[in-house]
Amino acid sequence: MNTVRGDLPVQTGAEPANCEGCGAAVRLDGSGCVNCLLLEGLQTEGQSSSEAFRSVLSEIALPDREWRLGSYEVMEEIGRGGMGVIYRARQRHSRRVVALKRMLSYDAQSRETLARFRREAETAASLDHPNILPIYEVSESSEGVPFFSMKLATGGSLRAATPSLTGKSKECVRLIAKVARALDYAHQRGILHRDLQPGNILLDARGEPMISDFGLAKWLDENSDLTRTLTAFGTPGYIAPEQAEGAAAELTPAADIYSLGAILFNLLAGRPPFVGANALSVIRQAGVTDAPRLRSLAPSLDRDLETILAHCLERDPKRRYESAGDVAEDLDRWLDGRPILARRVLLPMRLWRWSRRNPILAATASGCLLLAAAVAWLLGGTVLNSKPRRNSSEGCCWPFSSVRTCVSIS
Amino acid sequence: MEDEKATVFATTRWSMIVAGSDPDGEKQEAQAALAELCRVYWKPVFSFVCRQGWATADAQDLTQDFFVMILKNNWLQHADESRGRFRSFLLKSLQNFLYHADERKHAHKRGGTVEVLSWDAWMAEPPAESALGHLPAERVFDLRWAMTVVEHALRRLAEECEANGRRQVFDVLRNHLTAERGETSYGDLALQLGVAEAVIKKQLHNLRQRYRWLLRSEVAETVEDPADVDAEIRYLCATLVHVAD
Repeated sequence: MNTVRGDLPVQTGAEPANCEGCGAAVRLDGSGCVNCLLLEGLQTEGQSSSEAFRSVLSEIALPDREWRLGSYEVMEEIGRGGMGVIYRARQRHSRRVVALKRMLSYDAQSRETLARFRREAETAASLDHPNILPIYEVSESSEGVPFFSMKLATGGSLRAATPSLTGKSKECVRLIAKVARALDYAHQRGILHRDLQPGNILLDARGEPMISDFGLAKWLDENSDLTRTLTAFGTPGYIAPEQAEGAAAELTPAADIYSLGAILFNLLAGRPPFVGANALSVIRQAGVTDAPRLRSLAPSLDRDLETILAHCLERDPKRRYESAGDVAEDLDRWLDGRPILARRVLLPMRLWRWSRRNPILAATASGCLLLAAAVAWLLGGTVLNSKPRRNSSEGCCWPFSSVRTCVSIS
Repeated sequence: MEDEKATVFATTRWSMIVAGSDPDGEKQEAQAALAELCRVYWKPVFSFVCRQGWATADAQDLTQDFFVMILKNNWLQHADESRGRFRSFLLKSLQNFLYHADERKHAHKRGGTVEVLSWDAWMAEPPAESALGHLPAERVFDLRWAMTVVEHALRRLAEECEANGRRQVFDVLRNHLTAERGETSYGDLALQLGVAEAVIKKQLHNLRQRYRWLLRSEVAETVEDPADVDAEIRYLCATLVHVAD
């Protein structure tokens, strides 16, 4: 007998198949027979209002602060998404305070789904980088719901810190360059983030960025699944166009690079590249139009920064930076005043930047050049004065023409 | 209690949507309500498309396109026959939509369609044929619908418990919400939570009462006339019982 359980129907094998009470064969993991649960709704007498329910519930002296999940004491809830909840918790033996994330079990996810969540959490736990939030332990509760503990980031998220970074372009670039290096590290190990956005970049007490939820955001974040696009909550301003269009399995690091560019764009311009009244219009814009140029929104910012962002936000993933490491390299170059790789700058601009980096050498070189020019002028004047002048009607050079384009008009 | 019941059941999402489809109706509110209902009931749609024999990737595309169509256009005006219940409306609309599914699929191959839904593979797993293979697509749709209604009511119950700092109470008692009273060992549950048996009895009773209200309000959101709640629950129960046949 096949019984339908949870999110996915599975063969139950030796487990009891049909409900002993009603004979129906559809069950939810952890909550029992669906038919019996529906039949409860036909008992119209004895329904409880919100207030009455709350009042009776509070009578039981068992507040959640005494929870234990594995070897952790749950202290308080600090965040919640559509599918996951985050607690501040203390590890009993070490007394270390950590952040603890777990899926909400009442979603009745299938066992296979929970197992996959656990596998991905274990993969993410293998990442070891100073700018990636470390996962300490992957475990599961007594009800079989997997959870993981990780470093508690006390500096909040980049989303919360964004207002304080307004107008500090160098600080923003320095921060995103670190994020780009961490992203590159994960990409080299075959792990994509898939939902990089300001809320997933956390800051430690010193303001150092740490990427959280590598490959896990889709399990925990309300704003990362179907719900994001069917309703107006959540701004999908950081998703690559191909991510909105295609299957998750076909994504490449270029999708994360787009998100990285969109985050920096938001920090510098005060808004993501695309905004709209609802998620649908934002995603549609990203799919059919090029991202706006940075300087169209923030004219005072440097042209090279605009170029770097435009390169990250190319609609075609193949035209973006090849790796997050390349993005980091260009951001570092911009910070150092060196030419960026995304575009070779003109010679005068390169000379100007070089002179800013090497003022003494530049002054000496300038002096030498001036001296040489003066000598050349003096010598040239002497030579010209020693020859008869040509009649101006014999020929001329149009302004800005090369020597080869000189024409005779006589 | 009566006040709360009256408020929720008088302004169900579906009745708001139906009212919004009229020329002088509240369009924006109706659109938001429709989006919210689609958000809750996407699984039956996806299961139906899969059961029609579409490969997972194509079923994802079609499900996306279907919701785009529903949300973009005033599709409701074309669904007069099934306006009474959101479930019937969605199924009828889906069947009409899939008549042209081949063309839509080819449009996708050419890259000619704007898609809006970001899918993660885990959300898009097709129903296992081993268990549902013998059922027609319409039955699979209803079955998924019934599961979604219950899941959503349980989810709201859990959220209320958690919001009141009593999530643990829900976790321990959730298996005992249904009427199989004889099987409930209050002693074991009391031991598990470290409280007296009388406390467990009272809390379980409280949880059941609240669950009933949440379930009925969940169903009421999908029917135009609140008086149809019982009939809709009975219809879904019948669907579930037939699976066992």
